[in-house]
Amino acid sequence: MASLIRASVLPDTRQAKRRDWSVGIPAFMAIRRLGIAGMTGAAIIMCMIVMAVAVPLVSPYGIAETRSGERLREPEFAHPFGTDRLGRDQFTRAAAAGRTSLTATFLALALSLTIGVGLGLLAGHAGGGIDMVVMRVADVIMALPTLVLGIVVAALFGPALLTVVIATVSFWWAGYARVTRTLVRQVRNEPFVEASRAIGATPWRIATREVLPHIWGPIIVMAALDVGSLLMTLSGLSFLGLGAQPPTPEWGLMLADGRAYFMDAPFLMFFPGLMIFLCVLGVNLLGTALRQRITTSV
Amino acid sequence: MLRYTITRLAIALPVLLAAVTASFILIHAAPSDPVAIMFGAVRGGSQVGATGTQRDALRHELGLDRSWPEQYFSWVARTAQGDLGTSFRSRRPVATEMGNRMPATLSLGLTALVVQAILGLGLGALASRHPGGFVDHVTNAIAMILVSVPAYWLGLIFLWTFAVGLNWVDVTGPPDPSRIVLPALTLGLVMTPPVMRVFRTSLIEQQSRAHVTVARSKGLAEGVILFRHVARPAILPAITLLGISMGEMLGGAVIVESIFSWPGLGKYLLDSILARDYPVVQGYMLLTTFTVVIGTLVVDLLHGFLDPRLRTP
Repeated sequence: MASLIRASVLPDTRQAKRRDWSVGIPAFMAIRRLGIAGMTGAAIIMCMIVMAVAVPLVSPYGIAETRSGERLREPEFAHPFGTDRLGRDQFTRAAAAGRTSLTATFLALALSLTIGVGLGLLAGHAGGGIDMVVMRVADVIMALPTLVLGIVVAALFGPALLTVVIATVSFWWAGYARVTRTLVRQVRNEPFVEASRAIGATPWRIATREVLPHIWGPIIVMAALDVGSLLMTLSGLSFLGLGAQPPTPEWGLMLADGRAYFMDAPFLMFFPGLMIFLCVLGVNLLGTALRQRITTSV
Repeated sequence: MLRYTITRLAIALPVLLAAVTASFILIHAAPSDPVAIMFGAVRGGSQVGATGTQRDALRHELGLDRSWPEQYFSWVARTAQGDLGTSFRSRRPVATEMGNRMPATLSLGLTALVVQAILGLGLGALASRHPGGFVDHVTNAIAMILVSVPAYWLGLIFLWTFAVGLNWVDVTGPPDPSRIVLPALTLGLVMTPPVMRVFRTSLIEQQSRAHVTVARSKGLAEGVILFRHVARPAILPAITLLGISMGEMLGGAVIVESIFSWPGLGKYLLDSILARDYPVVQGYMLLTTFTVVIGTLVVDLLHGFLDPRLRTP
């Protein structure tokens, strides 16, 4: 936080901007500076993405291809994750499920960030009544447990992957709105913002060109630390039968399907869960490393 | 202390009202007709025999033919009196139905809270002894793993390991109090990391405070310093977190209860969702809010009690 304020008193706003960007997005590119844990996290995420994209393309089995002669096979070389009751290759499906889960997660994150940061900017700049309304709504949402809200909203609007994404976004934005508003409050009276206002810049330009680049860093880090719990919430809702519907490959749904063969084929529930765990672990390792970088670079 | 209590209560009320309003809006925004669902639920999925007159009668009985401000105020008034409506399925009051399942969830939640408190505070204290040391790294890794593991996977792994692999737990036999161990452990474990981290950080912070240096320079025994001068103030943020996590616990209970077939509120909620029994869903949401607000309130009052400086807001 202190770095933002210090950077912002520099006379040249362009230079100030550049300094702040260095704690934000370019941190992803400066992989070497993330430490072993952060690098491990980044590597896990890369593997997951490559697997999700490539495996269904090169796999000899189709995502929904059933083989009646190969039902409930134990993990072996031909089927590293085994096969399910319809003889579908679980490795191919787990990889394809990565597409579903990762896309849903990033869609939910992008929407939450857009709404949250947008409302936060609005509340922080406008102040007064708008500020109060937005912040009180955010307070109430943040007081409630996210999973229960997700379950209720998803249940009322019918089970589907998109419902779950919308349900999650409908309360996930609140945290970002809160943080954005606080950060806006901190920089809105800095000389470079005032200078911009003095030369007649529009509120939109001030918000997007002056304020936003300054406060991006902490918001990105917060979002990075959130990806894991977002993924777990979305998959958890699918696990409960509220999200993705068969035959869509999705980790939570595959895990739930595997429960029926709990005794005979425990691998059916083991591997999809392992994928969720590894993904979340990777994101959390990277997020923690990013946070450390932003706090130690002060 | 009385004034502080009253102020705290006054802050809690608007949140409750907002939650009651939100649940009203949600139910009315849902794209489904309660009357159709009720006839469907009562007649086992088929709507044969539901004539227009019968539908209108039911609509009137539920008050759905009135204007929505009217419905809203009667909804708020009824909720304030503890009337959460009638279950579509059983035709019995939702409050009664939930009350019957409350003890199971409460015992699960409290056992999980004990697990969470013991592990969180214990590991946090262990980690704070030598910041950056080996034990600190190990506990940090444990926290990282626990925070990343989905409860629904951990529960199933526990179930498989202890019920199938080791055959220690009998999951098919008659109900038995010892069956609470696995669900409570699952729920408690996944909620441990935040408590552990907060307690570790605040212990380290307190160690370097002036009053600890004074206590040490007076030659007090190390145990006295740690428990009376370091741990007592350091435990406040951890208690806050334990109180706040009551609501998250109710959310986690839905998943854990469904995995372990624990006959509590969470399982009831899921069954009700599948049957589209909306008053129950609504009731559950209100109950959760109520729990969170009460949890926060208790924590605030406890703070005021432990630290007199906080009483003047």
